[in-house]
Amino acid sequence: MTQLGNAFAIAAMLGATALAASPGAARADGLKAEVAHEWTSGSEAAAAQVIADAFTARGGEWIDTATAGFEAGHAAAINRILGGNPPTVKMFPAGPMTKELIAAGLMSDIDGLVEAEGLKDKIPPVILDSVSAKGSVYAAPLSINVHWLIWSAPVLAQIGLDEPPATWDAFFDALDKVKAAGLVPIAWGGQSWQENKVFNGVMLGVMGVEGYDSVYVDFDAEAVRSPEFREAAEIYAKMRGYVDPGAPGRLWNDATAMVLEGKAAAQYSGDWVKGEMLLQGREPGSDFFCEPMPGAPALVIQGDTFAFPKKDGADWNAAQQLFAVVVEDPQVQLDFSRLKGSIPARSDVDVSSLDACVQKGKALIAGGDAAPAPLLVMSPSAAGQFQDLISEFFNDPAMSTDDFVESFAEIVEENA
Amino acid sequence: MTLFKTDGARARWSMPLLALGPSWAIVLFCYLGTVILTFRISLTSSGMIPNGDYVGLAQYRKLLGSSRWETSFGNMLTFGAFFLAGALLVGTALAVALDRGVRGEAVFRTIFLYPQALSFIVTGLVWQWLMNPALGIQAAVQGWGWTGFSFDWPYDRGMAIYAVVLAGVWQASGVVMVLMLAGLRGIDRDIWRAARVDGISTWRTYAFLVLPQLGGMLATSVVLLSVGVIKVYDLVVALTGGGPGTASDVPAKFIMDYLFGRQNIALASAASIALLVTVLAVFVPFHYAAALRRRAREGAR
Repeated sequence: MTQLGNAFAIAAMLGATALAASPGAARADGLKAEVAHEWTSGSEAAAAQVIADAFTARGGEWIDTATAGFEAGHAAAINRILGGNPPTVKMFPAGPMTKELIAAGLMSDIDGLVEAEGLKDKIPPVILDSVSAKGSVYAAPLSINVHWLIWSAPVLAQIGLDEPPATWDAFFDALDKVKAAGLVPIAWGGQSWQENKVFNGVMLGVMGVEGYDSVYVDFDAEAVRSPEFREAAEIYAKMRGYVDPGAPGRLWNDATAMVLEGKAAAQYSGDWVKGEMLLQGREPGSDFFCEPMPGAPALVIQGDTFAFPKKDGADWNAAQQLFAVVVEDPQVQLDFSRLKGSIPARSDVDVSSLDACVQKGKALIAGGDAAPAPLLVMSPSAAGQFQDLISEFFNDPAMSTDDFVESFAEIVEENA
Repeated sequence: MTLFKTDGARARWSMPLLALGPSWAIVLFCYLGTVILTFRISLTSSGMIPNGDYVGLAQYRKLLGSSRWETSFGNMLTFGAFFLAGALLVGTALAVALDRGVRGEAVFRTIFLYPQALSFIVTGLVWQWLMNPALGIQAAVQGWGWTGFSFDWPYDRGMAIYAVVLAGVWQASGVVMVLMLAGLRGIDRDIWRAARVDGISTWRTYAFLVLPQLGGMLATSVVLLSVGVIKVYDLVVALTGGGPGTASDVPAKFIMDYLFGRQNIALASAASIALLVTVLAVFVPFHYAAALRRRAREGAR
């Protein structure tokens, strides 16, 4: 049965790849760009197609290299860049992930476009800075992902609430009622990257943007040993009592299905959860709510960008520059975000035609009040250390808050 | 033959050299070369790209200070012990059962060997589903009325690594069975006749006469299974993802995570070298003891 299931999955993957690859065949004389990305799920592939179509319409030729899974895709692309045979364009999350490649002189910049479009004033600094070095910009930001606490409106109605709780006391009060009603309070995605996001959300809720930044941006160990951080750790630990036994290892979309089916009250993750809700025909405001964590004045953000490795031969840079122009086209960003559920990276794009969560998210991050996700501000190695510890803390009730705080402070000191 | 006879001594040396040369070149450059390269990188501060910034043993200190590495290493030992013992016991038991001349032996042999043809990813997923508290055996048995029944190892911190052992044994027992069965078939039938004449019971014949002669097959099985212990990665990824938390993490997964996702090849290299040293620490004394025994035997002759 598994083999059959796998066969279907592979067939679906191949289908998605073929679909995304098709526009490339339409024109053979354009500027060729091999585009490496990891957008293989339904809504993601459809969103990637928006860029492919726009690129083809302007005389480009999109050669698709889609890989399932971010780690596999990044590893393959990095190996190719180091090996001297890179893809023309690679999708990377915004952040220092590509810093070493830039420092080694392997990437080409898009300063001309940044200048012409005045992007320095139109893209949130935390995103643009993360892909800049020595005043040059090395990647074209496409979209911003924010993180939401998604509440099921029917489940909240069942416990007598018509809007989501806004404080931590009300939050746990509501979860107790959900539990008493025989439902699962938190639809928990039990992989370390998902658990990591929940903790970061709680930290933002308790410590605010300034406190959050002092931990993840300034690496201040004193902030970790503060009573506020401790409170965040305790709230996070308290959530252990509000998940079901099947949580360990659960994928994010399986957790989302629990909310969709009314079996669970809430899930905290990236806006792809909202994308899944929309795809299933649910309406924000009436069927579900997208909220910041209780007490959080802002949202945790991360970004998707396209980076441009240097290549041998002719025309590659022309293709890259054309690609960057397409990515920074407001209409492309708008159409892409409509399908993927994200927020356009350019703040001057009018999002009034997108869903209510996008508009709310955009308003929340507009003042520059956003907390960067760890990968946006630190090396993957450091982010991974935090991730291991945060996941271990949730899954090991024997780990005391003291131990957690101390281990966390040690990682902060090690990477300061 | 006559072609080489003329040049006696040189031919005697050049032919084996010619034949072994390529494999020696591979061993020297590919294996030893990469080991040396890995060791060199483990002494640097390399991130995504190897660099020449030497930091001494800092990566090893970081590795030994990492609780995740400690867990991974302990898990490898636990997995190794139970996986070896389990696969050998089950495989031998199956081989003995088939050796008794059951009807349809070929069918059973195929069925028992079949798991070996599956990828570890498939094995991992199937067992994950079987042990899922909401979908698997636990839900079914509880549905039949035994509400206290619990079988959710991958979801239980204390048991997660044993879930990996269980799936590993299920997959590997078939190969042990085939090897042992081949060994059993090679046993002189006269031993059985003699044992029967002496009135020795079947299980005593197996335990004290037949199985002790299968040392070679046992050694082959142990080597094959041990390689699997060091390499175990995909099974863990598919079955538990190393979780809950890092409870069922293994060294290979630690290395892969730091090598690719986390772009810290220096730490990954240090971990690889630590793993290699561990393997050597087990196999060198073992080999040495075997060589000593061999020499003693030859001396006695």
